[in-house]
Amino acid sequence: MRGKALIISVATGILGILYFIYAGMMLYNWIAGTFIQEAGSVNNVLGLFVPSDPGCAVALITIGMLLLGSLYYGLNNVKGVSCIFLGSLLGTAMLIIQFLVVLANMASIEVSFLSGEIVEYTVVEDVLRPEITLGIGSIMVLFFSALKIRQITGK
Amino acid sequence: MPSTNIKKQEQPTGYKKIRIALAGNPNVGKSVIFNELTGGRAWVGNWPGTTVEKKVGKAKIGKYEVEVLDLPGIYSLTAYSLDELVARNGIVEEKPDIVIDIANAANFERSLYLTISLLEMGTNIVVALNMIDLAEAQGYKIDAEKLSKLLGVSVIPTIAIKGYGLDKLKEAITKTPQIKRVPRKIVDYGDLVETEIQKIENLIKKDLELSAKYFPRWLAIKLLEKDKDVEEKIKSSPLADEILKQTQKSREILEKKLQKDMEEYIAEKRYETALEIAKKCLKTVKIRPTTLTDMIDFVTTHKVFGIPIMLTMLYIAFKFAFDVAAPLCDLINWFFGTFLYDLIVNSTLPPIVKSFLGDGIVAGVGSILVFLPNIVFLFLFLAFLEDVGYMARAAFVVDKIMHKLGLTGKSIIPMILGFGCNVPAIMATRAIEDENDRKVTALVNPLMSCSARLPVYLIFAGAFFAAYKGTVVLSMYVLGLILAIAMALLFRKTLFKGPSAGFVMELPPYMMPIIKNMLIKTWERSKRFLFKAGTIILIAAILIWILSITGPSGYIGIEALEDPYLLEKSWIGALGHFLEKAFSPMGWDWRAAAALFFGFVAKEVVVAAMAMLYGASGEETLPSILTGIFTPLTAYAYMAFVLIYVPCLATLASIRSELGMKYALFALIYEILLAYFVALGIVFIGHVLGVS
Amino acid sequence: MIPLAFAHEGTQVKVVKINAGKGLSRRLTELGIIPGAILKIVKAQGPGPVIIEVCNSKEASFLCNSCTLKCNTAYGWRIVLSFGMAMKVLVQELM
Repeated sequence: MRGKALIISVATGILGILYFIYAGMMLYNWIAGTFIQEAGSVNNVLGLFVPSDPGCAVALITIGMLLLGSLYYGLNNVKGVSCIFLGSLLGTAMLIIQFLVVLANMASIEVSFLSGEIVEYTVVEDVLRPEITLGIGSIMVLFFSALKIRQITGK
Repeated sequence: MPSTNIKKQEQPTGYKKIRIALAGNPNVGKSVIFNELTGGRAWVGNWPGTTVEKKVGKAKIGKYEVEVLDLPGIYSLTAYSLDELVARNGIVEEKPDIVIDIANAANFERSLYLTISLLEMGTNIVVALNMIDLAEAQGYKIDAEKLSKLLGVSVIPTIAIKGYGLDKLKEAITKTPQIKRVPRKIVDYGDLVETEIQKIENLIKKDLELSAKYFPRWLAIKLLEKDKDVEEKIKSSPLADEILKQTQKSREILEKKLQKDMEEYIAEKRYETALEIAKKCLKTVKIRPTTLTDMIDFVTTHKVFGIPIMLTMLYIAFKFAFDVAAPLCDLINWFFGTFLYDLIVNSTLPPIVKSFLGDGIVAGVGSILVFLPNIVFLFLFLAFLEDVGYMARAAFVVDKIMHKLGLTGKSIIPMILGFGCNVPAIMATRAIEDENDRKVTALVNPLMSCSARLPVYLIFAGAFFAAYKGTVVLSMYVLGLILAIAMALLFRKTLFKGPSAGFVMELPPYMMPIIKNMLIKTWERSKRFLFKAGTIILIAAILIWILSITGPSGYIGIEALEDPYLLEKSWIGALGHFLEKAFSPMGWDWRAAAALFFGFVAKEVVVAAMAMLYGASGEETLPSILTGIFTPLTAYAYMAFVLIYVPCLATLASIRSELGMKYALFALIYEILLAYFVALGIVFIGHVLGVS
Repeated sequence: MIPLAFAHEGTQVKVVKINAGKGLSRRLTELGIIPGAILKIVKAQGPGPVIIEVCNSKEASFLCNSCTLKCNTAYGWRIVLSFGMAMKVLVQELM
């Protein structure tokens, strides 16, 4: 049991840090794109495309904070489990939303066909994004935290 | 008081008609029960003379055709809060045969307070004891039978969300109708007070009309409580002077002897009774476990995590409302802009009719409907957050900051919504209790740069500040935000003075929202936007169309819509020239001024209007034309003007429906003035700094 | 005796006096915040709104898991009071 808890803690920690890293890059992209004209943008890191969406960055930072915060409080603790539960929940939510956005974009393409426009759309760019890939990690963490919650609340 | 059995006449269809009303605290599941009974079909309007929502539905229960009236969520029946007054008078005027008092088992004593207040008023009630599952999770049970005996009315345990107990509730409704109960004394106020109550009551009983309409004991108690509304009602009685004099005397005697304000005393005694009854009915008690709500709340109201979580929720809301709804918007855009438009153009109708339908109606209606998916999706997500229970936590988390800005925690939602569209944002201000806070929040909301203004910013920024496009657009948003805060503080210190009444808010446990209720709520709100905004915009679009093809010299012809030279001769052109003088220090010509007029209907129309006025063949060529007319400085001032000047028509309509015509006009005027001076200021500062 | 606004997070207090106008104190009464009521301070972070839980002022004592205080409560329903309101409720700290 001890070993398992350790693995999960480490996994959570790594996940949290990854969220932070991608958020940081997103912010950089945004700042660079908006304020400074010449600075390049970091578009592709570790195979994931990084948009320059500041709102998304805020969301990812929040998730990262919560995941790392859970380690701070400890995973055997009500506070720690609360953090990890909410962090992974938000991570999963981001994944779902991004998934819906992909579907919406595909639908938009269909609509533009109606007006006779031919638009190019690379699905890959929208799918290989931190929200989705890290989100998958979040789902797994979510399961774990749900189990822990069951222990605590007895439901 | 004699009990009367009032038998209703049987309708030929064999169905008897009765009327019931639903009362209860906020957050107890009233809407759920309403939807369960009526299937969600309701007529929504306002209680006459107020902005309080009135919801009525129909149901078939047993052999009865039932009209279900949803009263506002209230904690008691005082005359202080508009909601309570409306509910109280609603019960007296609408005379429902039964009032279903929905009590919250998980917050028992508080619910009982309302129950007792209702019984004191002599209302014929059936108590639905809802959320008993939640109570059990907290560790206790309520003996419904005992409660029933103590109160003298039927008590039905229910779990509305799961449908449990609803059959028994319906049964109780059919078994209880139309018999006017003999109201009994529920609260014993102590010998001293009871004696005085009796004195007043005896006087009231002498007025037969009054005694028939209201329960005399209730009137007497309310008079002692200095209830303004009851005092008004008494004044119409021939015995008014006597009654009021006796009340005054009694009150003086009691306040001297008890050394306490009567209102406080009576409210306390009522609450004590609630506590006593509650004690007698509460059964087992066990250790209260940590609930999921506790755990989630630890994080959502956390000093550090609280605000980031709120921002994340907002981000998700926006992403959902705009990116996910986008294809639907595109579809609507295509349908109106291309499909219908082409259909009309290619038809064999006379040209003027074609123009009227195409450029007037289709364009006008289309410009509003294009927003509909965004608004529906946004409302849906917000309904979700509300029903889950998160909204209250969000308001708590930002309250401190908002306070420094002259607003309140609950203002955060309208403010953020305003970045998407001001119309639902203004409607969202309904949730703010304090009148002043609500008015200020709604009035500064149009300064939040809604998505319709973006096209204007992009065109200008692209034409004049190409390299710094992003920054310039961002600066518009920031400018809007700063102005909103500044105006909020200004308003709060001058026109809407007064300390914020503060708020008291319940934090209900988190619950899985019921999809059906979410959808119903969303539909009701979207419907309102559609009709309010839709009708006004349609009228305005037609009006502008007329003003474009006619002029001081008479009818010009629909070619004016395509030909800027002809357009100059129309009323729009005349208006533009008229305004040109006012705008000369900013260096804007009559066309720019005329375009602003179009923007009054919907701000994104400014770009299309400019294209038309400047004879640009399309929006792509517009930037190059613009550089010949504006300078970077005047262009920036123009963008600022578009940001600030008049809320779009739909927003004005919302302000009017939420706050009244007076405030809508005020918003109109203050924003035009503000816009003018800010634009002027920008140009002035620019010249001073040597920027041409 | 201190205003509720200054009570410490995680403590239990007893309401002594309410310094509000008619409308406000009535509202508070309806929510169970009356002289003699026992409140648990769930969240209090400096000057700002306060989250409290109203404990049943009568019998039935048992422990909450989320704090080690003996709390006579049967509710999970919490209430947020704005800073202004919390200033008007005077309480006495209990051990």
